[in-house]
Amino acid sequence: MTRLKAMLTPASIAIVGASNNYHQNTGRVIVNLQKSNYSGKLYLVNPKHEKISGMTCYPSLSDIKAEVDLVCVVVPYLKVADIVKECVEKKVKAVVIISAGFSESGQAGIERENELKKIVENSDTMLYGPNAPGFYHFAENWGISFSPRFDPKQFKAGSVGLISHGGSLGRAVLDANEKGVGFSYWLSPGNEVDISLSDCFQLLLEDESTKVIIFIIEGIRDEETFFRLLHEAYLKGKSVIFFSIGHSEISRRAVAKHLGHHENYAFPLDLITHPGLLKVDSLNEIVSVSWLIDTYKMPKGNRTVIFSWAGAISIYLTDLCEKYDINLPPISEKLEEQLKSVTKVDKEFMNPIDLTTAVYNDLDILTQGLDLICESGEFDNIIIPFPFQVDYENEILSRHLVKKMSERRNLFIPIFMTQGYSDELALEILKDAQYPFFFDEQVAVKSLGLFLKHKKIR
Amino acid sequence: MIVKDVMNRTSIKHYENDYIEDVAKRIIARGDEGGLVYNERDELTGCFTYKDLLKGIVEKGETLLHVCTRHYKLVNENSVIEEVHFEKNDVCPVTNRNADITGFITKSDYLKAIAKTTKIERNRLDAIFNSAHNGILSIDLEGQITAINPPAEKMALVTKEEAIGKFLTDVVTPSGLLDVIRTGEGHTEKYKVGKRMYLTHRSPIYDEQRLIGAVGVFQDISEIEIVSSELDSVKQLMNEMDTIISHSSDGICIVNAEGEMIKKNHKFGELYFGGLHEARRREDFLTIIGHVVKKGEPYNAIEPGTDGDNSLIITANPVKNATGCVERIVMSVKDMTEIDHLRQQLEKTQGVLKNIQNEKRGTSFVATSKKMKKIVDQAMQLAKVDVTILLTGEKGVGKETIANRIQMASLRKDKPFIKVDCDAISEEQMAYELFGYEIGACPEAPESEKKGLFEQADGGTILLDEIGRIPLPLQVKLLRVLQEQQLSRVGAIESRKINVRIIATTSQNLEALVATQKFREDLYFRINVIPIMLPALRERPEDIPDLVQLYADLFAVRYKKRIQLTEEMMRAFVHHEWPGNIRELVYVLEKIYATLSENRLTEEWLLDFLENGSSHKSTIEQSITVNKVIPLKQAVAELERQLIEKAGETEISYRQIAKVLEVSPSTIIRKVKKREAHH
Repeated sequence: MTRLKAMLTPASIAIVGASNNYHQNTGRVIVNLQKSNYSGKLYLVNPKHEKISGMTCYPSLSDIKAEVDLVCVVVPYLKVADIVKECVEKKVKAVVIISAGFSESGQAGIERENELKKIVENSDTMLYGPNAPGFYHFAENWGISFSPRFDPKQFKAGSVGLISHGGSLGRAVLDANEKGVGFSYWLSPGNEVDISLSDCFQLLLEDESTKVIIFIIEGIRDEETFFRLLHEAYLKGKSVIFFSIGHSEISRRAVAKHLGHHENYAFPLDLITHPGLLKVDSLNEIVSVSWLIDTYKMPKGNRTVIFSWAGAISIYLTDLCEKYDINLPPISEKLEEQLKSVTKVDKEFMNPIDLTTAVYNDLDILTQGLDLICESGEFDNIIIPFPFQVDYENEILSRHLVKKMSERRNLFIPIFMTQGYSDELALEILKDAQYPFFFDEQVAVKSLGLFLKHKKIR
Repeated sequence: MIVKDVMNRTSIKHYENDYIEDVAKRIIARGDEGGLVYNERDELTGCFTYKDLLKGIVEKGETLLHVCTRHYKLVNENSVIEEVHFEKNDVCPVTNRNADITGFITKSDYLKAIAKTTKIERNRLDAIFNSAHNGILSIDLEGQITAINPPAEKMALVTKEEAIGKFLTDVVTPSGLLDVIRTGEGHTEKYKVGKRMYLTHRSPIYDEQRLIGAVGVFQDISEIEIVSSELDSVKQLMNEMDTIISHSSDGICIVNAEGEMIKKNHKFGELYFGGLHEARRREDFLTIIGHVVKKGEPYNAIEPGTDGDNSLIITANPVKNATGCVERIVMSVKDMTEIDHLRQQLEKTQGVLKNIQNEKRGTSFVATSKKMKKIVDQAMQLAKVDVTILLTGEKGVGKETIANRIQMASLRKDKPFIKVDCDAISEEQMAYELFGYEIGACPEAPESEKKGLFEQADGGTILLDEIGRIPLPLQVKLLRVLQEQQLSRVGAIESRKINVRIIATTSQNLEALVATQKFREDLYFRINVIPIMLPALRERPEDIPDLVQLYADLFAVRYKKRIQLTEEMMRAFVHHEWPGNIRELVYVLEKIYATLSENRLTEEWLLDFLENGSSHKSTIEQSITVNKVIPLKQAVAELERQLIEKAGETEISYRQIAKVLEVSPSTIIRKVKKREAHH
């Protein structure tokens, strides 16, 4: 079992360097824990304060008589080493160092970091950071964070584990939580002095709830271990979404100043091929694929149909299915006959299905058409474009779609194609349902393609 | 406004003895509110207002003498109105510069004037208040906003109507003004709201001695802060530039468009103007400047130096202003002496290096084509990363060469590097060879134990050539090495830790092997994480001329021959299909050098050789000729030897030799071993 587990299940937490200035990290960390459902003991340490918002503030870690499992360090960098020494002496299980000013800041910082490494080496204390933005534990609604916006009570737990270098891109993806994308953990081990990406990877591999693991990173330090774990994840039926940044010469220099990765090359990501690895090109794609996996778990099959009443759009989506390797099998004669009788349109139906604007005259064609497709059992995945702003047709389709989604017989890819503002009621209805929906047709179809690759090894 | 503007200019004199009633009638007729009182000698003795007259009438006084005020204060007509002090009087006599009495001013005149000035003043202040770039906000003692100007409204995101009367901190975040009304003391501070930086000055407002409120004037100085830091860095840049210029080994000068020197370093004078030709140089200098100004383009020239035996590179670059006119010219002069010297050295060294390279076969490598360059770049990048790599491609494309280069460039370059030709080891032997065995586990050597090739490579790199040949049962063991870094010898109960980097090659289609269940899918996925596909030689014909040249040079040295390769021949090389890739090309070249005497190579011969000679399509009849009678056993042995040797020229493994000779691989191995034992 990974040692990182101890950091995520502490019976007590001490914040060293805590202050009553809630506009600063030193105070934010406290507030963010107080806002959360963390149920263990919370200690504050700072020799400058006797009390902080009514809580006792200890002059030093050793003044706390009880055991401390997790120490969160927010003191200025020059004092960090002494605190970590104290932690090792006190046999603290995990130290999370939020403080920055280490290898990312130049030569003196690299030396400070090496000192930290030496202190924890051969001890039972693990070190997460420095320069770490914290971590979130979704299932238990708490986390270590100095973010000014942090609402752990609103966390929606799920199957997406996120490992990111730095806070910002990670947080951008985590915001998808409000759309209904459920997360298990967010881990961001800063400069990786002790706890590394691989440790985080290992944790998410062992975590039962995690089904997909997202990496948003600036570089891997131990590639072969990463590939080993990648293969293991694949064997366990967990997909890995890999998104790396810092590929230009200039961005490489920026990487060195961000988290102290001083490698002057970016791993040639294009070369990596592994069926467990889903390659994406944008945050949008990361969230889209994760959302599908979190909602639909495993693909039911790869038979996909396009269900549309707009001809050109159905053709465009067909092109995209070809591009992203999505199988569009023909519809059966029986289904074709049924469609003819429902639509009263005398034409040969095919996949992509185009109901035509006959739906303007009779909205039942839309709902009954969708029922026919779902009940035929001929398809696993249904791509449904909302072609443009038409209010009523879209609203009816949306309401019916949500009903079908809740039956969980098929996987649905609703795509809002309009390039105007998407503020139709149809969208609001889908938002409330919290099932995946899309605005970018390329992302939507590509994400379906990637999702269909996510499966258990034979 | 001065007294003169509002006073009652009058020369009317009222006398002490005038009857009050008469005076009253007079001033009513004139519309005056008061007047000045004189004695009989025309000396000013007092003054009065209509109130005094009223009092006189009520008290039944008779003349002005009884009611006028004798304690008056003279006011100069040029005094500013605000400076007039009436004290207890309601009227003051006014004098001019010469102390002549010119009239009087009453309190009501004064008030009217003050009202008027105040109004003007107020309008003016309002205009300032409203048009000020700075935000201004005032509060009263209760902390309620009494005034706010438009910039302040904008900064606080409120309208004046909304803000006035509200408590300060309900409208804006900074609360410093409250401190001012609390302490009565003003202050200046910088503060930040969001990302913007502000500078504020806050002052108390006093009515006489009484504090009645406070006003804050604030300014968004974010831009100023940015500009000031930019200015600092520009100054820093200037310093750096100066340092660079003055310490440069090149001569540098900056002139304006008129040719006037603005800046130059010591070296410039030394290199350019020093020596004999100074007068001519000054002329040239102006010509160059004139040229650059006119054309607006850089100027470059090489000229002999000041001392005659060196040469100078002279460049002049225009610096243009926004309208495209040349404003400055930067001229630099470089002494070429050292560079000339270095160039000669370099040429010599390159020659030597090329010879060395050519002699060291195996490390030399041709990648002229874009395709190949990219692959080599990738391989070199991956070399530094400690990962498993799979090299794929047809036979003879250079997989092993790339593997060698990866190992040489890797972190493990000084560690063991074991090459395993999986093709050359029989399936039965492979487990023992790769993984080693414990005592009693190997039937052929029951008494001993053996370290396998993996163990020999521990800490270093193992090259698994033709990994597709590894039999299925061993693939599980291999996957275990990859995934768990664990290895167990044949016959061992416990496994041991192992740290080996694997570079695998294959000329087979592993995916097809997976489909026919000859290769484990999971192992395939695991080793295929980073595949590098080497193209066949026919897919990169650009590389052929360089390859031919490389090996021609090499064999020319080895066989001490010079064979002229014409363009036509080169074209034949490039157009040949090369089914055996580089290996075939090397074989052909070696054959040419080994067998032909100098200058015997013709295009016809080459074309024929490429067509027939290297592809072994000749018939059996032609292949075997008997030209001497010897014992049959000896002849058969000799034939076997020749056949194996011949097959070995094109086939790389015993297994393949066995295939073309249509016997089992073990037969070939046995025969080879037997022969080696004889020698």
